[in-house]
Amino acid sequence: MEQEPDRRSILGWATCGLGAIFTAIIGVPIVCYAIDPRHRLGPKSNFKLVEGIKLDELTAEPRQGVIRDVRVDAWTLYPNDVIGRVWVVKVGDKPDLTGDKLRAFNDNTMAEKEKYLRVFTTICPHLGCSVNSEPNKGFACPCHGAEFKLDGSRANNANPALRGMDTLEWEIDDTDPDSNRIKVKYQNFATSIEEKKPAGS
Amino acid sequence: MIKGIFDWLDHRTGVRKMMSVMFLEGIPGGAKWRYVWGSCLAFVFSIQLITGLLLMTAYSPSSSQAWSSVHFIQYKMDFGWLIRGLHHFGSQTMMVLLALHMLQVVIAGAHLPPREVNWWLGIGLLSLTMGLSLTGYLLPWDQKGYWATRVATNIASNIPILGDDIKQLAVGGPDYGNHTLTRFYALHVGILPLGMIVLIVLHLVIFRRHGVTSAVNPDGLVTKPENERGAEHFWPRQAFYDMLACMVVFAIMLGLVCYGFGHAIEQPEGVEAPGVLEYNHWAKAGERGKGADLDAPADRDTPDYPARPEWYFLFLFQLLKYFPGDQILVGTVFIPGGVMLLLALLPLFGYGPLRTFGHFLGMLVVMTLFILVGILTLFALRDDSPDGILWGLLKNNEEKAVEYAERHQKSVKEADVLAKRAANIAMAGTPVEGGHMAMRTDPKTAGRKLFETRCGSCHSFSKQTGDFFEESWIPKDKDGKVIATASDLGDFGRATWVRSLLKNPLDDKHFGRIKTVERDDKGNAVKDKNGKDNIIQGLTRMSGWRKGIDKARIRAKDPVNADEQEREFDDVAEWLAYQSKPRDQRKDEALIKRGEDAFFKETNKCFDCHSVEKRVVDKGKVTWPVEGGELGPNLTNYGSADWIRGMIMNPGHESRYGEQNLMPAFRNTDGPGNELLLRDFRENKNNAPGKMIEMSDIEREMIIRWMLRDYRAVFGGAPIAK
Repeated sequence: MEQEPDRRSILGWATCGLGAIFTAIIGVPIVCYAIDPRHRLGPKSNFKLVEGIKLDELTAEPRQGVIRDVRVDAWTLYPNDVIGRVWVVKVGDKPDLTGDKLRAFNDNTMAEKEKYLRVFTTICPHLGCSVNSEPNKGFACPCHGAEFKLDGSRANNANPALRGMDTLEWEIDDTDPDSNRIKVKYQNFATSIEEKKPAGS
Repeated sequence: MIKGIFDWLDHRTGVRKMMSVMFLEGIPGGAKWRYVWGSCLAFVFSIQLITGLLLMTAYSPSSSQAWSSVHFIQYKMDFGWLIRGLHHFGSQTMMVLLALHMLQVVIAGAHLPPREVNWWLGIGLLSLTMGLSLTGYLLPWDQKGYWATRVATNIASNIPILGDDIKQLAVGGPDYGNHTLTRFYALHVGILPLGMIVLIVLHLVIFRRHGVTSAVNPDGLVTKPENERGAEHFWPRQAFYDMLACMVVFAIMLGLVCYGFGHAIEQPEGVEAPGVLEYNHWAKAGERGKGADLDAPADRDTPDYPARPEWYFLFLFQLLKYFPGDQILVGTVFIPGGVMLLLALLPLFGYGPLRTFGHFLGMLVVMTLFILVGILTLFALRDDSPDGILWGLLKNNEEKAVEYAERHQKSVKEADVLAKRAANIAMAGTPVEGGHMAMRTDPKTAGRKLFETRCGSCHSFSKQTGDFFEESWIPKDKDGKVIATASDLGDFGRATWVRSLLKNPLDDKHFGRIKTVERDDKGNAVKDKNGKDNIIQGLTRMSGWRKGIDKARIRAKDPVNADEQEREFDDVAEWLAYQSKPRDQRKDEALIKRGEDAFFKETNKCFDCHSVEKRVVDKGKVTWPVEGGELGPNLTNYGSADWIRGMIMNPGHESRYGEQNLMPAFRNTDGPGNELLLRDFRENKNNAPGKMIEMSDIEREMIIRWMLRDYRAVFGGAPIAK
């Protein structure tokens, strides 16, 4: 049988056309579904109490505190999970926080507050390992050797990290009558870059 | 240039020959609409493969994670409802298409020699498809799938000799759980699809050997059917028919998905649903109930789940009803096995001169089979419907049957309401133990039963709304006599409850049922004339107060104005109910002033016995001093979770009923450190040993939430104690 298939027949075009419409109708939801994780927002960060830090007991050496909050892992909710750790470094004297002075202090800019305390995330700005404290020197990261001074800046220029340790916003807890605790707004920042940018933005 | 590239490719791969083999297949007798079923089946199977792979990127096959992961796909992933919906309705569609394909095959006589092997491959494909449906049904680990699988695996255990082993292998051990899911998952995404693909390839290759069964080529003896007279190429006509049929099938599937069989999510107050032009209106349409159904999470602790298989297995379910007891093997093994054997043997009846007989027998057997399956399915549906089906045409009027059907429908309705509740509370996230744990700690659905078992031997609970879960409860003995010995808590803490307490403290709703043993000054029981303990009315102080109020209204000198006092009592009731709110939410200063003025008015005689916090504003600063007597409960924060908690855990405390207390204390007696708390508790003279009952913290908080109608999800909502 020598009947040649007529590629230009209407039926041929109609078949291809239907196929194309079908691919579009099913293709769009499939692509949207496949890239869904790109649309999922990270958790909103709030000021949360830091465990393990008593302001009156701080010395010049950094102290590590733990932050707990509700954590959502896709469909699972952990009501009280550790979401991060922080290094707290005292750089100045504890200010007078009696009466209305506490509220006034908390309303200050971060630059002003950091004359008293610096709060760093333990996450290294190079590639995300946890940074350790180096007694009398500052901080050092065990993964690739990044070193930082006590104020968080890079210890030298041959440093794998492109920027200093990331500071976090904090305020004094106003529910504690002794004003001995702080609240920190924990955040993740993008690694391996010079700029301090929130992760996932 | 395209032709150049194509030539380059063809020279290296032979793609032109491949395409001509696929698209230039000769169809003796020409293209026909009735040949589309096979292609439709292959099309739907491909959709199952694609949607299945996509679902695999988000599904978790573990007994604690599966349901939540499916809920996440359905409600939280962009177009997850659509992908899952297509997969669900795809399996239903394959069943229908299989039946149509099988029917067309026997009508054409395509099961007859020399096409027996292809027929057997088809039966193999039918079995694999049913296996895929069965294994897939369990994967969401919802109530429907779980209970249907329990039944199905128990049926498998009936198979002689090997039954128990087969069941344990399928279930993955002695009980249903993680290993059941992992095994069914491996079967569903790996083993069975591989089998399907192999069989489909063989089915197509062998089909091409003999060509389509048409009037001009019944015996398939011509090995090059394209050489037959009247043969037409597959492309473009048959290709067009197949494509159009596939598109109609897809449209039906998509229509079912978009019609929606899922549970809608109630949007929180003040939140607007996305508008029609917004992306999320389409991407998150699962929230509006689009897509496939998802039942409540599987919970082994369900006493009365109305288990039913998917509709295309209902006929087997019905068949079992006719073979009770030790006849069960007839319905589970012999009849289904016998039918499959008969189907397999059909081609053998068509050899040589028997061909016409074999053809006729095939049609007769398959059609009779479908009719019987149809009838059994209709009977199964009829048995579950009290009003019958098909507009009452098919109905079982026997009293027992109607009762059975009514009970079934009630269970179905309850299961449906629970499924909707589960879908809603899971929006906040589920605990790591799984979706069923979220349901077990849900005050709305579990609260009533908890109240009945923990509080209900003494207290009653009259429902106040028409809500499905808010059922009344009153303890009764086996003869139906009411044996409640404490107040009715249905309306506790509300203004109406307080108001009726002020009107008639000895109403059954309040203190009327509370009886106690009369004791003399030394604390010994007073005996009646029969020598038994004399039982008298308990908690009489409020009724004494009411008598005083009534006397003061009719006394000769300076009687109290009744109407005015009744209005003041209204104010007190409203203000006391207001105490259940936290301080920063009590903003109605007029209400507070009216209530406090009435409460602290001498003639009303409230503060002689009760203390309560007052709201005092002095130079712009607000303080809350507590004032009043200590003969009755302290009414600070009355009706709040805190107040109720104190009542449950320590009713004998001086801030509650003190020496008058008759209620046991309900406390968590387990847990490290509790021995010290219990020792302190027992040293209080009002809490003699024996009047304490174990109650876990979670149970207590759920009961409090139930009483307050606070149905916020415990996980993801406020912490459990607030």
